[in-house]
This record gives sequence, structure tokens and C-alpha cells, in this order.
Amino acid sequence: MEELTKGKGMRSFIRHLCFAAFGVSALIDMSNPFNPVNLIFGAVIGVLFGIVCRAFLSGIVGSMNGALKKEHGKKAVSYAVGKGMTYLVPFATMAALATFLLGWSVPGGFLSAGLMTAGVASSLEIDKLKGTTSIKNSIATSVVCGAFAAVWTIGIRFAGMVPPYIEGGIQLLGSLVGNPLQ
Amino acid sequence: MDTAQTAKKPLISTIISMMVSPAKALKSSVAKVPWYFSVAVSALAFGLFFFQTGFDLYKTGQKGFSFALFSAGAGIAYGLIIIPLLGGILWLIMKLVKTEKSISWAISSFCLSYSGAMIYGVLGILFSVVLGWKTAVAFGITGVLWATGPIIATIREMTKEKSALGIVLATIIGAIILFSWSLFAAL
Repeated sequence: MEELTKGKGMRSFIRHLCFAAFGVSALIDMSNPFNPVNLIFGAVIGVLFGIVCRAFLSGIVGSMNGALKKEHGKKAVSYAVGKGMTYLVPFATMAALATFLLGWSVPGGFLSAGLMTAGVASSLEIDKLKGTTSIKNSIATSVVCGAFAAVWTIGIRFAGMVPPYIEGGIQLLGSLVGNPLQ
Repeated sequence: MDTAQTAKKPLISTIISMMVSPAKALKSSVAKVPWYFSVAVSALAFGLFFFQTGFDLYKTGQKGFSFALFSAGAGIAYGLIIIPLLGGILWLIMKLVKTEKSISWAISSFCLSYSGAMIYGVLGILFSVVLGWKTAVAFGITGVLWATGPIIATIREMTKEKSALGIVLATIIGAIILFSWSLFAAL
């Protein structure tokens, strides 16, 4: 348990950074890549999605591993899932590189592959705590991560419609008090 | 014949295991697979990936069919030369952290990490030919991304569970492959 709690702050920060990168990459305006509205909105959506995803995954897997929670504490599964989610780093980095250096539009593929890998890694961390391998944990994490990947792929299309409204709202406010975007 | 059949069985199950449960496959099956079969997996994976790129360009009229065939050849060469080379470089880096795994195990595991890319490549070709989809990104890139998990697992196995090093190196390797493919796609 001590090994799991060590570095949890840094892992949490890295995880939020990864999801922010996915959000920014998915919602970027390719005609204006550094539009602050798209960047901030994308980062916020990504981080919120990541918080919900991790909470859901921890909750589902935690409910299946009651004995583990009794032995190692209530937060053991949550920490194990958090550790597994550090496996998102390569995918988030590649998504950001593909978006900003190669000019690709990357709505869901990188996050989908990353989430599935992170799910498997989370189940491995839980197996390490238990000292045995468990196919049910692998299946549960794969199903939850797959579902969230699908939600992201579908939902991001709708989320992409929002930034222009935000920008329009800001410009409207700006026209009343002086436009901050100019 | 028996040797070939014995080799064929662990290869097929190892390919599937590397996609579904790479950590388990690395501990049990990879050592039984001859290195040249592993290199064939990466060669086939990239051959299919690059062919899909060329085929997509052919379908949009940007290139001729001969370019699609050239792409397949370039992909096979990439999987035969570049991927094992990257595996060898990875082993050299791992020697700095005192890995006990042999270079042939490292190259074999690294090449087998692209088992998922090979399966995605086969599916991509099917969807491309039968349904007329453009699959280089949806199946090709996704397949290459799927190799990231097994690569991290390979490095963890070589370093006795050092995940952080695996994550950093897998990121670098993934970026190298993405960039090299993008250079090819821009031809």
C-alpha cells in the first residue's frame, strides 16, 4: 500500500495533464490552433472526462474486490487504478505531437487505445496487490474503458460544437465592455 | 513438419496473447517463438499498414496502384529492418540498467509487440477492399498505437517492473514510428 501511495500526487497531476492533452487535441481549431477558447475548453473537458472515468473505473473494480479493500484500505483500488492510468502518457504525448507538429485531427483514436492500455495496466496493479491474477478484473477494466472510449468518440463531436458559442458569447460581452480577444 | 507445427501453435497463441495480455505472453510464450517468426510479424504488420496508406491514396486518385505495391514493400522493409533495429537499440539501453534478457529475446518481444498492428492491418485491408473504407488511419495508426502497451510490458519484463522507464521509452519509440510514417505518407 505504501508503494501505491508514494508519488500519488505526481501521478494525479500527470493523469490530469494527459486527459487535458487529449481534450485539447480533440477540440483544437485547426484553422487557429492556439485559439484560447478551444484550448481551455478542450483541457477542461478532457480533465473532467478523466475524473469521471477514473472514479467510475475505481468504483466498478472496487465493488468487485471487497476483500482487497478490507486488507489494504478503501483507497487501495483507487490508487492502483491511478497508477495504471500513468500508461496514458505515451498516447497523450503522441496525440499532442500529432496535433501540433503533424497537423492531424485526432478525435478519439489515441484516447481509445490509451484507455484500453491503461485499463489493462490497472487490472495488473490490482492483481499485484492481491498476489494472484484475475481474469474478472481484466474483463471489467476492459469493458469500462471500452465504454468510456466510445462515449468520448461520440461525445467529442458534440463538444466540438460548443467553443464557437463560447467565443461568440465572449465577443458579445466584449462588444459591451471592450473586446478582450482583439 | 512436427517442429514447424509446434512453432506455428505457440506463434498464433503468442500473437493473440501479445494483444490481449502482453505481460503473461512475455513471461511464458515469447521465449518459445523463433526470432525470425517474430520479425515476420512486424514485417507483415508494417507491410499491411503501409499498403493501406498507399491503397487509400490510390482510391482517392492521388497515386497509382504501383505506389500501393511500393508502399507494401517499403512497409515490409521497415518491419524487417527498422523495427528489429529499434529492438536492438532498446536492448542496448536496457543493458545500462543491467537487464538479464538476451538480445534475441528483446528483438523478438519488440517485434511481437506489433501483433496487434498485424491483426488491425488484416482487418483494415478487409474493410478497405470489401467496404471501400479509407483505413490507413482508423486501422493502421490504431494498430501501431496498440503496440505501446506490449512495448511497455517488454521493458518492464527487462527491467524487473520499472514502469516509468517503460512509459518514457515507449513514448519515444511511438513518436519515432509516427513521425517516420508521416514522412512516408507525405511522399
